[in-house]
Amino acid sequence: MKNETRILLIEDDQMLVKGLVSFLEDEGFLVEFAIDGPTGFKLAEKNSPDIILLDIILPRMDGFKVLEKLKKSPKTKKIPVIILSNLGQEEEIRKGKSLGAVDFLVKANVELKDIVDKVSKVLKK
Amino acid sequence: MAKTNTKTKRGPLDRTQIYHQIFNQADDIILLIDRKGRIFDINNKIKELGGYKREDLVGKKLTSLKGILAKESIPIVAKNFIKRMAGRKVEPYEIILNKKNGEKVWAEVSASAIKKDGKIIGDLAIVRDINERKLAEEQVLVERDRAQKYLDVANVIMVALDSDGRVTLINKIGADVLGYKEKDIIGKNWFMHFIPKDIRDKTKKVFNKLMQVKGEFAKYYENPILTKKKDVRVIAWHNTILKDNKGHIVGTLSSGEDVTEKNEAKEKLSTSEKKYRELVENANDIIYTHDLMGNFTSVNKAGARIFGYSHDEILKMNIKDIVDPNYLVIAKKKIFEKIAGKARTGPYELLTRNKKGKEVWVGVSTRIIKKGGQPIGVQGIARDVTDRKKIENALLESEKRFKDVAFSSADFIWEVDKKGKYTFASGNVEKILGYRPEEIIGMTPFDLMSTNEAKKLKNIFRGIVKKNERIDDLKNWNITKSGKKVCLLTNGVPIFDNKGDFQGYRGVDKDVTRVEEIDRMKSEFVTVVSHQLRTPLTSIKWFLEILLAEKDDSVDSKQRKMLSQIAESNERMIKLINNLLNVSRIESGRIKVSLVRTQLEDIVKKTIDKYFTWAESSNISIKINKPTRRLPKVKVDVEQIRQVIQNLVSNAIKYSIRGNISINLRKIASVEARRMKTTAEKKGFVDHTELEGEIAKVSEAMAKKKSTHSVIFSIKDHGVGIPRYQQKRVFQKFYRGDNVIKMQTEGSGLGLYLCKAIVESLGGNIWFESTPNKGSTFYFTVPI
Repeated sequence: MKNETRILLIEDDQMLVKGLVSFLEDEGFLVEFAIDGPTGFKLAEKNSPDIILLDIILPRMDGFKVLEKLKKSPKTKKIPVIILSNLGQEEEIRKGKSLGAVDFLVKANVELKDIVDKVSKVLKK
Repeated sequence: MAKTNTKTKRGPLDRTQIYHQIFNQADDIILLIDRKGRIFDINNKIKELGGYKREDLVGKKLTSLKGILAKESIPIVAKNFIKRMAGRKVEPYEIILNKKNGEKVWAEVSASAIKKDGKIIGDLAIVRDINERKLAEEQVLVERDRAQKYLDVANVIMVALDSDGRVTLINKIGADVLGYKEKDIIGKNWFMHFIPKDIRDKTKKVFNKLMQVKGEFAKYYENPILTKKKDVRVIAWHNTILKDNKGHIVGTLSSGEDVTEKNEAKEKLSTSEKKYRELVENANDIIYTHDLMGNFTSVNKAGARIFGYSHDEILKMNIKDIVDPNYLVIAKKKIFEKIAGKARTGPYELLTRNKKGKEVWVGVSTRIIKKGGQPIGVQGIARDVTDRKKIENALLESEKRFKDVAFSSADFIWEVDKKGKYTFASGNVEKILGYRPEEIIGMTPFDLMSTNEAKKLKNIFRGIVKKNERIDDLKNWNITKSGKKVCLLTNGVPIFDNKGDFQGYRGVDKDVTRVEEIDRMKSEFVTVVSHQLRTPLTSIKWFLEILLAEKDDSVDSKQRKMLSQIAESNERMIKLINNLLNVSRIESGRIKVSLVRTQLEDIVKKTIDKYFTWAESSNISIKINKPTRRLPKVKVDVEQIRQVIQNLVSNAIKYSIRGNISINLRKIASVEARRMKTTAEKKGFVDHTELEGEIAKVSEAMAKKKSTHSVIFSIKDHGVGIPRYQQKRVFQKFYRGDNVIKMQTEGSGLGLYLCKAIVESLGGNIWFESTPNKGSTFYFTVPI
């Protein structure tokens, strides 16, 4: 199952992208990534990944906007989105969830394996 | 004649000689006239008329005596001579003689015919000088005439009564007053006919006394009389007694004045004067007069009462003794203006002082008293307006205070009517919104907002107005005249008129644009910092995780140990940032707290689960003493209360030296909770920490809410404890105890501050008891 799972990572910090991609691939996921909002949205529409990990502060279009568009587009609205951000105040969490994110993870407070656990958990449903 | 008589008594008489003697020595002029009217003889008395001689006259005709006889007397003399010659008797008559010097002399002629043998042969005339008598008579006539004229013309009644009380004289006016004709009055008894029955006897007595000149001589007497129409008129009489030439009282002459109307008027006057006097005396206002020098000449009771002086004292005083020097100028000016007849000066107010020196404000209205057109003094009415003045002054002062505040304040002070239109705007509005006050009047606050903002604020405002509530810290964005955005913080109260009807709002707008800006920047900064700092820490964290997860020998044990230490430090850094973020968020009040009714017990269990492993690794056991019964739910923000529990538990573990940690959870009466806190205070607990920012306001408001019961959480450790001298600083931001720093344990010094902020914002309390090297117990309560 893991090998079939395609993750789309939308994250602008290259260090984080490197770390995450390498860990997730080691864990057996197929990972695609985009480093800005519009590209991320396009990739999601084009490739229909199984799950999307979405940052909020992104160039050109912020994560909330991307999430909104993803949930509006018939092609992507069913793809689960986990927000992975270093923002993490109540209102941001609330906003993210109200826009349709399945979870909101604060990057600094989670370990990589927590992310994998969460992804697996979400995809099991 | 007497001479003649005495001479006739002497001896034998020669009759011719006697007659001759009589003829020559008589006091009267004697003439013998023949039938033809010629003077036969005349005596020497004629000489006294001045210069006429006997010899010149004898033989002359009577009618030729033109020089002696006054022209008007000649016909009388002639007529009477003819009468006598005809044998008829002639009564004595009066003629006028001319003296040689031109004087006229009245004379009485008594003549008789001389007969011889029954035949009239001549005439004997005796002419007597009656000039003196005649002059006296004439005088009387003139007097009488004058008196009569006076009686009739003078506006007095003249009545003369004889000694029996019969009317002997009454003048026209008297008759008119009585309503009878003069002739119907004369001869009637005055008392029977003209005096009212009821006082008839009394009046008669007075009259009788007059007649006897006994007792008092009623020179002036007032009594009523009865007119023909049966009216009663009051007459004031002035009585004179009439005496005959022998000194006997023969009657009275009275002059009377009809004083009926006068008396009525006088009576009215005296009644009104009395009334006036009473009014003046009993008036509550001070009524007084003073001369032009300001010396009081009269004052009523109120004046004495209000100023505390006696009536006599005031009369010795001057206005300057009472009026305050500053107001004396005004008082004098007003009086001068009035004297000069300048602009009509209405009532004015003066500050005066009573005997004790206390201020008395009086409202004064004055007028000038004049005598013969000349001002002689001032009459005034003064009202004590001290109480009103005090209120007025207090009002003025508070108004001034208000104005001072209003205009010195940088805030914009306003009033709006029922429709929300500005009716007042302080000058500062221009500084804040760019519009001048007069431009703002008539506009509504919503005219200054963007469409969206206006819509939002109108809704809020409508709700507030409906309930006539205060406007409390209502934030609103406005657009200035020049198009800049300005954030105002509005506070206001509803205005009601005397009837309690809603009239509008009055309040203050504070320009908080800068504060908002700073707030926004701060929040932005926090966001940026949290994001920017956390991101590199995240990559360190994740790469370390990857490294440490390597299963092969690429990382040896020594390296692994060092990497773990890096990871630990990194975690501390992340925690520090997290705590900083939490503090700033909680202080800013920006976090949206979602209070939910929750079982505190469940949260405690879930939170502590994570810590068992850590505790075990430190050889510490954690025991939770479950309450026997399920606790009532409390209203908390789950995330926040979890943080409180985490902080307290992690502290307990960190600072434990040995043994176990016990956690207690139970329901408690608020009174008991307070008693527990007091006990702790006795043992040395003091908290000097003050919360900062918005959270302080929230906590303050929550502290006022009283609840009867709470849930109390306590956690007891056997740790290093807190030195007594540091106990008061434990909850302070960034504070860490000396002893725990030495322990080289991680910590930011923010944990307990956060706990305090969260607990107090929920209306609870947090405190501790601690003994160094024995351990601490932390308590917190959450109201049910």
